[in-house]
Amino acid sequence: MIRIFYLIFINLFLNSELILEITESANQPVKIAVLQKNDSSFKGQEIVNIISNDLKRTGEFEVLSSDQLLSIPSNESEVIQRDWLLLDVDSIVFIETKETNNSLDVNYSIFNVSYNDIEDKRRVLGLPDSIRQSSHYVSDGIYEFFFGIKGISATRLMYVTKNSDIYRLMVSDADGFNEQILLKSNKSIISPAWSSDAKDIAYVSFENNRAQVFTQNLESGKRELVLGSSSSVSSPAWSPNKKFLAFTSTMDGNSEIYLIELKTKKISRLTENSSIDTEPAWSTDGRKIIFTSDRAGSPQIYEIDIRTKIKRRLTTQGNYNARASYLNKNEIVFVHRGTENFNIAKLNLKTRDLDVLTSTQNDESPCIAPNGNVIIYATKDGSLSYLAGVNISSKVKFRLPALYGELKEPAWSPFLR
Amino acid sequence: MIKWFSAFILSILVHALIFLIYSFLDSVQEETTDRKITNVSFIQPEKKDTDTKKTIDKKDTDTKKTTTKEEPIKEPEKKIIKDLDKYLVEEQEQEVFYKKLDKVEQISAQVIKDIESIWIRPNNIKKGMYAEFNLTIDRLGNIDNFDIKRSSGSDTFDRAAMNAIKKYKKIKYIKNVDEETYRIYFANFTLRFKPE
Amino acid sequence: MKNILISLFSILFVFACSSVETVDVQETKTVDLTSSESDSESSMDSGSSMSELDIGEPHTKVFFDYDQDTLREDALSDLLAISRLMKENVRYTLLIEGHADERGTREYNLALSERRATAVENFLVASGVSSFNIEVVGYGEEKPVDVASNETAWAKNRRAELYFIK
Repeated sequence: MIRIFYLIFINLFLNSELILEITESANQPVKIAVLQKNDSSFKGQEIVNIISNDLKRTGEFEVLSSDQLLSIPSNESEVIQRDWLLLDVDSIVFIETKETNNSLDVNYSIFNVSYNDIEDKRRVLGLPDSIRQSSHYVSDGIYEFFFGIKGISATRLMYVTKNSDIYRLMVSDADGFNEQILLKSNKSIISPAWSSDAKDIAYVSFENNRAQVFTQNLESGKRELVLGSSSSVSSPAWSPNKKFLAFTSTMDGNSEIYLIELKTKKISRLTENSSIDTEPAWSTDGRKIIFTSDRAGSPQIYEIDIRTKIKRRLTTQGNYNARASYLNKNEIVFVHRGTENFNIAKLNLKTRDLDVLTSTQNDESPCIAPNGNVIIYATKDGSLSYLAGVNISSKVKFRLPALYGELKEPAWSPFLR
Repeated sequence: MIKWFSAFILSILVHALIFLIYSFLDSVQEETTDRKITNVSFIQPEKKDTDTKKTIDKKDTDTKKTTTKEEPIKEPEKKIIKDLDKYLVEEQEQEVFYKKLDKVEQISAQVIKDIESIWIRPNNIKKGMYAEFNLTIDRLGNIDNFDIKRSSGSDTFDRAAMNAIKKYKKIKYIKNVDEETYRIYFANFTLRFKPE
Repeated sequence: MKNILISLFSILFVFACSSVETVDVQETKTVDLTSSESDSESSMDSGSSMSELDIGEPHTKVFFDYDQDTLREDALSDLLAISRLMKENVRYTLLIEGHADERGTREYNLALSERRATAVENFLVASGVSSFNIEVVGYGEEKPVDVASNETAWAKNRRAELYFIK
């Protein structure tokens, strides 16, 4: 009797519901295969290869090659689920290419292995010679499907190369292909900057034996000198609405930051002191600018509200902090020297957490991808300069392919779609 | 008759005492583990606050044992013998009870670890975002069914969580657990994906 | 009639079902400043007499410490000599080019190199030379004399170069 009562009591006591909470993930890459659907044309295979490489380069996908597969279905209905479950594959992407005289039609579907069913179907339409660009659009669609943010395969990179005293300002696809020369000069070119619509660029050219800022329209090649001055003008940064250019100039005696309204050429001054103020970068809402200043003795990052002109200091750790840009509303990325080495660091303005992202030694020119998830930067291995990158969410580090060679000053385009 | 009745009252009092001490100690102590994320949460229907996470602490077992030991000593001699029997039986049942809870915690921790290694977290996570799912498990541990109890607000996030559950397919540790534990804890439980 | 309805529905279905993206095409044009005709750019430049200069080797070099733009003692005798020369020959124009080593960011180094050149200018002006006869320019890390990545090279690159022009 007591026992029964006891059991009833305990049962009441034990009528509890279990909640398991998952808070972390092991950051495993998504395991997928990219296959041609139905046809096996040469063009189709090239598209599959470009997409596979795009996804691999993100560091967040593991793309199986055909020799790793147990069976190769030509379409969704031919998928033998067991062969894919054995390999632990998450999804299969089927690419179907249709080419006509005036269009390249790429249809793709994402097939989930566990559910044994199609999860998503999309379509990219382009011109017949836009194989690479169309493939990049597909890669970005796949990336966005899994990770919720835009992919960056269809973006472009701008950078400067130097070859036996000839400087070239180049632009290429994010994967290094389609390199085009924007400017060829006998003198240095530095600080290239994209406008928010990717139609115009600004850069510093030493063609007249001093630092001068030019804007250039990508399509027409038309150039314009932003400010004629016998002093140096450098460090251009477009405002998000493309109405202003922030820049640095020594026209008032030492390096200060100014704004020029492009339409009216009206100049306003943002900093006023005897220290070096340079490297302005805009916030996405166009209200603030972060910049480098050594007013406290060594280069540190400051922020100015454009309207109120109120400035505040952002960095407190390290004896050299420069070339900052906003990663998002609360975080900035910049070159940081703790004691000896120059690395790329990230600072959370709210929590004040400083995260040093690189471990090489002479890192500079950090450049953030438009989706805010990848940073590339220039670094050196002995005497060899190269571009490296780090994926912020997966923490995966990578090195850009050798076709970039000796290059400096990378600048990532905004989204082009 | 009176003896039986008073023994019965005493037994109730003892149980009530155990219950109160347990709930008190539970709300005070929280086990800190090496891993940041062992989260096994028990919802007590009596409690108003259903979302407090508690973990079973071995220390509780010891203190309870000592507490229960003290009680019988105060009793008059004749009762001690009878109570001792009951006390031994109760102690054994309690031991079984806590062993079961231990096992539940072990399995829960393992399941969390397993799912973490498969879950591919999207990159568009906002602060405080989470999704909850009801899982139905059969006696062998197969995930029969799951449905979404609370959406995170993001399709991508919900989908990534469901993919992890679907990929997991089976909790193999369930088959080593007895019927009662399975029925009470694992036949139906909630899985919450809440990134830190 | 039935056919028209069917084709109408299928068209609607196709449009409703697929999410289509059209690929944008980007054209770019190359601007070549190295070819002789394209010197129209220098005509845009109104403030300098320094285009197309071939100024040879610097008359004097002054060196700086890491991260510093203050003149070192070893520079003073050279600069005093320059100061005397300038005061004796009022028609001379002095060009001071500032440079920095490769460490740190490019634009900050550009500003630092300008400050170095300005430090030299300030010294000369303080010694009595007119600032009208001095031109100052910074080249940052863009014109190293030694491209190696070691202390020796860096020390050689942290400099101000003084040229007499005209």
